[in-house]
Amino acid sequence: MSARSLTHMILLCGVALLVGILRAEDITTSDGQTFTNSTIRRSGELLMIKVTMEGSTSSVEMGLPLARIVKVSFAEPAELAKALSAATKGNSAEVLTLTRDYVSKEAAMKDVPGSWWPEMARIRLMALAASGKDVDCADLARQIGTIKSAGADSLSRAGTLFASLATGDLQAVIVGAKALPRLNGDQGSALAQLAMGRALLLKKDYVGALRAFLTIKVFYPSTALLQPAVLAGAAESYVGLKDEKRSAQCYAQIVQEWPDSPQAPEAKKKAGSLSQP
Amino acid sequence: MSQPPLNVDNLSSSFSRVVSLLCFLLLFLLVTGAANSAGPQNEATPEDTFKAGAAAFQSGNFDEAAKNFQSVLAEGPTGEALETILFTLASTYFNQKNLPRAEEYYTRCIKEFPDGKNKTKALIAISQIQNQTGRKAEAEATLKKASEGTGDLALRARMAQASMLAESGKPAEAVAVLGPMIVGGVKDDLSAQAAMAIVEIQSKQGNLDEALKLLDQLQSASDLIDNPLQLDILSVRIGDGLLGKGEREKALRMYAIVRPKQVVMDLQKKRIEKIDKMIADNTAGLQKNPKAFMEVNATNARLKQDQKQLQTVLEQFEKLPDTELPVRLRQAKAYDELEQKWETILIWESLLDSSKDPKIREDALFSIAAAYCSMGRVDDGLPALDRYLAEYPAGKYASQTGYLKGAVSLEAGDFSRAETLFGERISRGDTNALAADMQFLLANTQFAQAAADPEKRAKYTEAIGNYKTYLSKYPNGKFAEESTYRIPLCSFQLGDYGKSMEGFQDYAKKFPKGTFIGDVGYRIALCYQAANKYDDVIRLCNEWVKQHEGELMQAEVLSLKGDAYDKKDMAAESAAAYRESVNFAENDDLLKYSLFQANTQYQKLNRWDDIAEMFNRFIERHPKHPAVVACVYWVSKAKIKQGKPEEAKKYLADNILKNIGDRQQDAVEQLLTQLSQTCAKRPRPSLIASQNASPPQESSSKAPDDASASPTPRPSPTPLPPYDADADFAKYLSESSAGNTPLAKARMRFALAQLAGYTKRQDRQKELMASIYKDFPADQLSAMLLSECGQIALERGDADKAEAFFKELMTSFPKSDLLEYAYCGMGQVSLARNQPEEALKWFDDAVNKASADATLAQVTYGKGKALLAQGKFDEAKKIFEQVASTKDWRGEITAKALMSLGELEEKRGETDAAIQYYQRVFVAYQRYPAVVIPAYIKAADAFIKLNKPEDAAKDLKDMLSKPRLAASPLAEEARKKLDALPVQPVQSGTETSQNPQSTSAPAPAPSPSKP
Repeated sequence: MSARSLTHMILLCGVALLVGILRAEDITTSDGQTFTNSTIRRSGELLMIKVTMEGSTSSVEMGLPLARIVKVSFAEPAELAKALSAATKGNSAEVLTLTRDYVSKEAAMKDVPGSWWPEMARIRLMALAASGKDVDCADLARQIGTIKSAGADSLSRAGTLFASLATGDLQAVIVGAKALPRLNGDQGSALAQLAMGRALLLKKDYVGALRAFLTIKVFYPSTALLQPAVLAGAAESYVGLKDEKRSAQCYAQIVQEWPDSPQAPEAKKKAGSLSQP
Repeated sequence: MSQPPLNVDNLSSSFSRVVSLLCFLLLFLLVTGAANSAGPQNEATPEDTFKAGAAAFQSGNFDEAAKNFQSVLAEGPTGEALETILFTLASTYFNQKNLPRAEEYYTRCIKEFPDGKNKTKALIAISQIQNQTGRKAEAEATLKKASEGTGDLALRARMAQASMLAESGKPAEAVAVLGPMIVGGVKDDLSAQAAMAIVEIQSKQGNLDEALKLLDQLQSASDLIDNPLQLDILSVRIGDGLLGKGEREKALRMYAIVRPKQVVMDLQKKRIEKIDKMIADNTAGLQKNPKAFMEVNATNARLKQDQKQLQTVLEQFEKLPDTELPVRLRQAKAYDELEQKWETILIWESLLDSSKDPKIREDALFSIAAAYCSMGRVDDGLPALDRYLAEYPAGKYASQTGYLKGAVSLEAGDFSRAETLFGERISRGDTNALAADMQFLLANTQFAQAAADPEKRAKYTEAIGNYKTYLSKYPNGKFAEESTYRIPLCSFQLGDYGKSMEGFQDYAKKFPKGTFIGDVGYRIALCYQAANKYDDVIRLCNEWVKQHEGELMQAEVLSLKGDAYDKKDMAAESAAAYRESVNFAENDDLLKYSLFQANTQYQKLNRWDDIAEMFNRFIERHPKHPAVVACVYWVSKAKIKQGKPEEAKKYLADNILKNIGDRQQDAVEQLLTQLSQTCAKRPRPSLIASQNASPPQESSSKAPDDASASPTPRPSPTPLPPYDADADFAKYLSESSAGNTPLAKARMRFALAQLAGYTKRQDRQKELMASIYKDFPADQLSAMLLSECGQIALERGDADKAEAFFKELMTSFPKSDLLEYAYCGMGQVSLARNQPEEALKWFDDAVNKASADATLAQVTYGKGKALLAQGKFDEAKKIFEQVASTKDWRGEITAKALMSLGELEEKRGETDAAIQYYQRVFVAYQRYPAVVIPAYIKAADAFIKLNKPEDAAKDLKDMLSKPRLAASPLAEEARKKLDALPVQPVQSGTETSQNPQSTSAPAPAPSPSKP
């Protein structure tokens, strides 16, 4: 960091002076109002805020349209950090355990600015897809789709492809996946490639499947939760292509780099059997 | 391929102008903000004074502002108002560059309000003053205090503190200060900035793994990063560091973070547009809440500054070259070095899509093709190479592409295409580094073609020419030695042993320690073998073993020695050589050859003990070898010969049970047959045993002088009870011991069918075999049973089912010795379907692909039938005549060939000639009623056609007079035909028919009445 960037940083600190320090429960509206220590609940398009009047012990509840809310300072769920840590290890099972209650109970707040739900749901969605829980994945993707943001839209479109995968409508999966950018996209693109890889694998289009799986490996390596599933899919594709050496390498990579993933036990067996002459 | 340089200039160095502007605006906002938050407003003068101060500040008149704010302070405000005015006044002095006064009021603000709302802001400002006045240690300490607070400002103070620590050479402490900010992951602007700062420090310190972990997180949160280019630069820097350390996988993860320029720019533009919308929304909100004017103004001002900063970064970014290209090239290189060819292809394809640079396109097209080729994916590689050549016919990789095309074709076994490709490039005068290799490979393609197809033997001659060209052009080339070896090898293959030996001897002189010297020695001996000089062969083989003991060709040399001794009828020596060869052989074919040749020699010597010992040892050494079950057969046979039939049967049964469920063990049926055959006969005492046993009492007592004595009469032996073969078989093998798998059941039925055959119960045999055909699906049967069932299906006219059995045999047993039955059977299926062209292909395949031997007669006859069906009478006739005249094939197939010749003549309108063929059938081949009866009927038809009903009747009566033929269901047609003929007048006298069998006919047929 240079001296200039230090100065810049301090100046930026100053910029924030007028905003004031929001506490966890603070609510900021687009017209600059803040409500502190508020208890909130959701009612349709309104966020109901219980405010304690100044100099009084009684409280009143008022409805704020969601459109007017800039941010609600929700407390970060304790499970998030743990889930993120589990995600970096490809441990889908733990991610699913850690996110289940929150995603289920806090769904009402999913589109409230500042909500942690989209992040928790995103991780959960990836874990569902990586674990092969296709129907649950598609259900959650539909919920994510109600949030108005580019990232949510892409994730939702990719996640709902797993519904078609579950019903065997493979062509729908392929068409849907191709509608998302293959390269330079976001995590939705990676998810769509996973769905497409699986669909093509079922269609015994091993080259197509392999390309889809490896697209995630090569261009979306930070989607850690998907990587074990990607390697398992690539290994199966290699088997289809009679390239047992590369298949064994993929399984070995799962065992070595993603030992906590749901794919690891099976990979261990297959790596052993493939490495035998 | 060289990599283009990567521009990694840091954009943050161009921020100074923006910073100055921000400084002014910040202080303006500080004041307006402070004014707004100064507490309850009333009509009192201090407020007017404060407003005047604020107005002066806004107009840049800081002296006037300070004067007004001092006046307000003089009024003696208390509480929050005091804190506000102290902070505002301090900020005014700060802007006035009156740093001592500014510091004084900030300090007072903190002192009087140690827990005040402006504490952190004041500490940050003081630290900046301390920094600007050269008191860095104090500044650092002050920032540390500021960072101990809560909220965003404290975090920003923490970042500033870390920055100072890093700049003062304390990177570890800087990381320690920033660490807590990313404990919960990268989830907001500040944690992203902290993570970026840590990555920068760690990468400079060489702690690439730590940096890598954080960059992974940053990539997931890339939309939070203010300066995406900085992320790219850090990723590339760390990636290069890792690549330099050979950690390619990690480097690849770093390179993957870098996004294409356009993507980053679009992202930045969207963020800028988003701020526009936020500002517009905020302004619109003012209409509802005008009192929030100051707050909204401040927020919008901050947003505009953020926007301006983003815009600046964007403008500078636009001027820089795209980082994607150099990064992708690094990725491609790393994946290629990791042998991850599919990944390499994906990277190059992404460059094909994104780069408009023709040089990159050329690299990409070639690299994709090369990657496919290196994976042996000919079907992908060749089109990719063609695509390169189509776009860059004279490109920098054109020669390599031509070479690769040839090499890939060669690898794929398409030798002819490889020859064309290499030939084309050589004829164009290609002189690059690969020209020598192409010359050599051209010769190899010709050699390979000649070796693969006997009809292309002439290619050996062409190969010799090209090997010689190689040697003349590149006498010291890397393939000079191999070319010297291959020239005589071609002559050897052509049967020119004289030239071959000359060439091999030349090689041995030039390369006495050469790679091929062992093979050359062996082949010289082979040349002598071809010249029938067996003593020389034995001598050379012995010398070879002395010189090359333990080398690869030893088993072949010993086997050759065995062949030479065999030719000299020295069975013991021959057996010994073959036995030794078995000990060294690694190649399955040779192993089998030597093993069974030794067996043949031992049989000549009647050395069944050696046979048993040899096969037993083989089974021990090669328990998984496909020949093991055949070895069991020979061991059991030896036991029988040794007079141990019970032991043999038990041994057979044990081994059958071990393998009965294994489809791939072809020889199980052979063992079952052996067991059935052994059980079919009552055991007899061993010949060997009786030979070796003490002489019988009567012989020993018989003195030569008693020769004239009459033999002592002996009582008739007590008749033995009837022998029950089935019961004997059941002692060793039964359905319960064989198991319940479909294959075991089918094999049991096969064994019982064999037993029925050996005990002359042919109906039972047929019934059991038919039950296998009927009850078991093709995919459960062994090769032998598939072949048998296919034949049964053909006999029953069920072509579809026959096809299913034969195709399963071809698919599941591609290396089976029984494959010829499948090809032959498929030919017959095609004939049954009246598809002669298809049939010819199958019959040709039977010869070319399955080296038909046992079915050669059937195959040849089938080809004749197919040609006949195509109306190619001359070709068909030649083939039928060949079948009919081949002595080794004499039997039913001969009868069929004669029959077909008759049909052929009929089709030509030569009825007389046809009759002669039919008559030859029923004269010479009465053993085959399935052919003979139709021959009688066809002869009769032909006579009727010639208007000779009496001759027709005569032949039919002749047939019906033979009880075996008359009993056949086929005879019914003959009867009807005979009944339909005009009644013949009874004639006396001798039969004058041309029927050569007339002498054996029971009653001469009457001549038909003539009209």
